[in-house]
Amino acid sequence: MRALNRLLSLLLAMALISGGLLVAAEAAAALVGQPPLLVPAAQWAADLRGRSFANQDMQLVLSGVAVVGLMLFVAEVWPWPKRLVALGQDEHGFWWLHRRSAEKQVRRIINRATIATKTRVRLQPRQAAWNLQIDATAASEARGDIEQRARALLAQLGGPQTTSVTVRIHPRRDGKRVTDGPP
Amino acid sequence: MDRRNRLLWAVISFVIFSAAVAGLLVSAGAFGSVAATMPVLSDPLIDAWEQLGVWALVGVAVLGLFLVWLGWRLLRAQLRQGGQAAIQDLELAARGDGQRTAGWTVVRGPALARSIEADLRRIRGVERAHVGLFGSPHHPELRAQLAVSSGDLESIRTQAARCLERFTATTGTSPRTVDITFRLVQKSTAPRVS
Repeated sequence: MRALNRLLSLLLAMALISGGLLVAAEAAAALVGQPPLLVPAAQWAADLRGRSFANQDMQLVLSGVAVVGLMLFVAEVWPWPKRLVALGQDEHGFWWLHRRSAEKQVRRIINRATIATKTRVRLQPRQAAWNLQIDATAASEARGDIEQRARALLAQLGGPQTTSVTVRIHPRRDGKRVTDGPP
Repeated sequence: MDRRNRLLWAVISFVIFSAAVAGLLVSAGAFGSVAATMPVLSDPLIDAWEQLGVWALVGVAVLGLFLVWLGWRLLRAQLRQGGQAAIQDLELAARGDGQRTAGWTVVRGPALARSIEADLRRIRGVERAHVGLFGSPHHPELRAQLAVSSGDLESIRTQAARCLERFTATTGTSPRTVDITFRLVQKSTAPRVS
């Protein structure tokens, strides 16, 4: 969302600059009695004078614009996962942790140090506590080890003591047990 | 910047959606059949435009230039790191005896950011450091991103705090606000050169 907004803002900025220059130039040309430079404004005005809101083309355009506007609005107000997790504040300033990098690090450690494979990790900061959710393909006996490794890493990262760690174990699709350790 | 962009696009999308829905309601006859069959550019609107005469064109030209100015501001804000201007050079006046000019020392703004970056990179476990200083050179806003390969963030935090103290002690600037973000990365295999 962050990158999309940045891109949209850049496009809007360029549209405002080029559109504004064009509008000013067209108005200046009309003021001195010159023909339109690029925009046949009189033709467009005549077209809009002959077109009502009940016109089917107008309804199609308005419907499209409404859908795009609604999609963009929902995307903007949607509670996307936060990019940064607060590590706290002290006399020096605010300290933050990049959420996705922390998720990757947890995944790397679990895949390397336990028998789990295909691990998915989701870190959700909630007020003073964090919520870590781990989905792993492994034998059910590995649950304790996975949780312990994750808690140890979170403690190293300075996560709150009250972090809740949820480990969900998924069996392999082919029915075989995942019991071998990492290579 | 990100929050402002999000607010900007939330407002823009809401205005676009509302205007389109209003148009659809008009076309569906919610405001009467007269409004639905009325031209998009109605005669009263055209009459008002024609009554303004030359001033209408002058107004449009001014509006166009205003849009250019808005676009320029938006473009500048997007291209700046963090949406703010980097700090100017830091001028330090030497303490004279009050009678004579004792001179100045000028430290280039980017050099200040590079100095603290270099100090942060010396911390064990820090692979890369990127620092931005914004606003007043004497009380800047400091934003740092540290790519760290060690999981022991407490130790890195302590040493980064010492870097900030050294920065204040050597330059005389005390950052107004400090934001330091850690990004966990895999340890670089390239040899460290410091």
